[in-house]
Amino acid sequence: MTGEPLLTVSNLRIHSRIGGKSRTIVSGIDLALARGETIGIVGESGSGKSMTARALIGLLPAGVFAEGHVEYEGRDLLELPERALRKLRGSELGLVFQDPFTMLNPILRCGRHIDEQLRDERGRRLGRAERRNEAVRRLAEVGIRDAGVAERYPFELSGGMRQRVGIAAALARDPKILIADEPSTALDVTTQREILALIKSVQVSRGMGLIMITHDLRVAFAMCDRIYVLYAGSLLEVAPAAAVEEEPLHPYTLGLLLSEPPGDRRLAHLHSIEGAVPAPDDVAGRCPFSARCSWTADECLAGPTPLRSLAEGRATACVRIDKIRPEMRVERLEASQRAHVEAVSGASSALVHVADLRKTFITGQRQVDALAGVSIEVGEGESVGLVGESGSGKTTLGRCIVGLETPTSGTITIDGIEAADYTQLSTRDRAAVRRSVQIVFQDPYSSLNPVRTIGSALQQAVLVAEPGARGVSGQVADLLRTVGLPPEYAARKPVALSGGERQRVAIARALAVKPRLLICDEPVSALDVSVQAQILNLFATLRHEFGMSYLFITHDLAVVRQIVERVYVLYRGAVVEAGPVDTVLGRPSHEYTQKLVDSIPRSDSEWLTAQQAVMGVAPDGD
Amino acid sequence: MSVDINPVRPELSLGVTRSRRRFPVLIILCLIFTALVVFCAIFGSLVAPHDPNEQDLLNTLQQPSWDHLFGTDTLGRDIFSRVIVGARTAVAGPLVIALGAMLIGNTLGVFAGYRGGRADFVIMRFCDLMFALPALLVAIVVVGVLGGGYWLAVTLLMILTIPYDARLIRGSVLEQRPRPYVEAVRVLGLKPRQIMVGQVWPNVLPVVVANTFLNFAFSLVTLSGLSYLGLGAGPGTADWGRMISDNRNLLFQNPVAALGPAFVLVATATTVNLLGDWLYERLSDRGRAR
Repeated sequence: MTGEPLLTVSNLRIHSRIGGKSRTIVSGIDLALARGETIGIVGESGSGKSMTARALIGLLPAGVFAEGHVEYEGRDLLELPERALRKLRGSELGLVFQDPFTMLNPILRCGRHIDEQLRDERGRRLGRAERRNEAVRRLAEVGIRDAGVAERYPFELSGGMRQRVGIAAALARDPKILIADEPSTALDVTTQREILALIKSVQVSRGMGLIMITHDLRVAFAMCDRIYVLYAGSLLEVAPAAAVEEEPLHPYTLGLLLSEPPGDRRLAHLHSIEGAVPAPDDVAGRCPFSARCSWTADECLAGPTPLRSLAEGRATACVRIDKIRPEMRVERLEASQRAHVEAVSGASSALVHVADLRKTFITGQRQVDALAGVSIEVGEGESVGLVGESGSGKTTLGRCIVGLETPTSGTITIDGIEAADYTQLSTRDRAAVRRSVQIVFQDPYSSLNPVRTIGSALQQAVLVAEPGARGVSGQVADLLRTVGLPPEYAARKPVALSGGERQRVAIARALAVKPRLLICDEPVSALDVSVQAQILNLFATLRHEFGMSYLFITHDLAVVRQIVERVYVLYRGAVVEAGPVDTVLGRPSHEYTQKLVDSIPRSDSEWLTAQQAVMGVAPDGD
Repeated sequence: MSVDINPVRPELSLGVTRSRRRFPVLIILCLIFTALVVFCAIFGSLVAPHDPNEQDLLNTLQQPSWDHLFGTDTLGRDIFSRVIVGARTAVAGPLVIALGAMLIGNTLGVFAGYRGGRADFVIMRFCDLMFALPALLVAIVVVGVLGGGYWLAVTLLMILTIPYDARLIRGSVLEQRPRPYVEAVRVLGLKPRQIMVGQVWPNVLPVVVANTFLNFAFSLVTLSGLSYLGLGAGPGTADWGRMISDNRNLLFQNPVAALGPAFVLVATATTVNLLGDWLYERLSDRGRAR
């Protein structure tokens, strides 16, 4: 789809300057958006994709500067003064942010967010009644049929509803281009599909240009006509979405595709890209991906690797593509044929037994039943999944088992010890339970104490397990090696580590007490795709090595499929389906499970247009 | 419950661009001045050009000269020497107040914030009770009734400062407590004392330090105020507040006699505040992105 160009970006460079030090964020990229076209900017964290979006509309944070040209209707947006830009924002360029929880002003009613910008033909504010009518009409357009929502405050709405209001506000002045920065990432999987479908349908009906910023190739395939792959501030590949899915022409894109855990089968080993995304300045003057690429040769390091056009609409930055293309094809083919491994449950006796667990949170007048009678079992050496959306109670259940929450009623038995209420345990029992069950949290950025070194954190963990142990520093080094980090990391503080490395440290800390059950609460969802696979492989290796049980709490069905044998599906605090993972995900019997399975992004045409995607479920009460 | 955090983080966390110099010029000046004051507090009587308490009734009410930089007072004592020696009461009392309130206030605050529940309730209600007392007025009344005295005033001010420290630290601890790093060590089985002292407290340290400096400056001014009213340092003591009070009648004959000590007092308080602010920023940068 190449219509007339609407927005043309040429040689866009973004850098930050803090305290006299200049750092490159984006090093010279070209983009083009045609009328009615959807382009996707795909990249991991640190790739510069969000900054690119912000540069287009002049919303760069203080200390960050953009150079180059952004041409829109004969004007260069980078040269426009702030006053002129302010006029363009909203009316010509709409923006939808990632986080529906902070995007809306909490003290303004939803209607205000939309009608605030509305003007009549002469540029005057509309009358009261008109504004209200218009707000209700706009809300209906984004699928909110309840007119009362216009009078409600953002905190009274669920995340998905808020995102809808945010989209309605972005569309209020009928912009010609919509920039959506990870619009569905902070939402539940089922809601994600609804929001993406909504954006797509609005875009099609209005003929807007849409720029999707996303880290998720699957989402990009489903939504976009063309895809720009951004890595460490450089474009590595530009191609039509279908062509990338068919055959990626850069090793990085291939790596991303292969790291994506398949939702339909279980692999013995996931493909992963070693290392982490580098800073643009560290890889200047050579192929940015060369350090992590398995096909790197001298020519990759010889000089900068600009995009080269291969065919109509296809370009790649890989200088060796002609030589390695057949090998890449083979790798892709092998990956697609990699056999499904049957999930064999090696369960023997039950290690953790949870029966009829209830947890009620009371906040002021409101009472929320997070858990409404849940019973689960985790066998010795077994890997069990707990799947559900936010609000399903899956995290609460995990926290109850490790004693971070005390259940309202019900029993938890851990290795024969009754441990529903940790405060009632004897010191010896508590120590025993603590040693049996450990937890790894979702966010590796806050689960390590920022002022302590990695070494001291691990040392402490070792000493808890064995008070007065000797050779602690040797044990710390062993732990670091176990999770695939060099022992020198002991001297570092968490800030010096990437997200994936921090998560490895968090896992090492949990391993220090040699637990028999490791509870993993969304352990990879805060990580980049290329790093996700590394961590999932690590989990598989560790299990093989130590024979631990896992309780894997996640919303991501493709992840759960790779790592567990049995799965419980949680919905609103109750188990709605349970059984072997292949059966539950392959032939879901409960309606909710089916919906979860359907919400995995697919690129086929009906994923975004199917009735249930557009309509969603009836919005619930809150 | 679980709000699933998005997997993608903002590319860069960019704070406000600010000077990255290790020691800004202003801070160097502050450090020099503070060092001078502390030196005078310890060795004041050795370096003072005159004996601060020596009365020279033939040379009363002298104008500033090379021999008497700030002139002499009604009893002929050298005001400059008294300012130098006065650094001792200016530093000792506030130091005791700031450190004492920090120790006790932090213990109470960390305990209340981390433990919560009944301990928190009792400690905080005690603090509320103390807040209801008008601190300065209580100090004036109690010291007045008990007949004055520097160390009585110091003790009283310390007790009155504790609840403020406790409440502030409790707030910071409450903010740290639900963070995953705290929960992770709880699950590991660390003892509450280990978590409070070794994990949480280092993370609220910037607040602690800044607040201790603020307390120092505040109690310096308050103590001097009490001395000015005749309730702090005893008669005849070389104390800045007392000197302002004693020499205030000389304002038109020899302004330096009252303004000299006043200037040193204000400069010391300001310097300490600036240092506290600077330390706060330095410490909060620990553990944050480079």
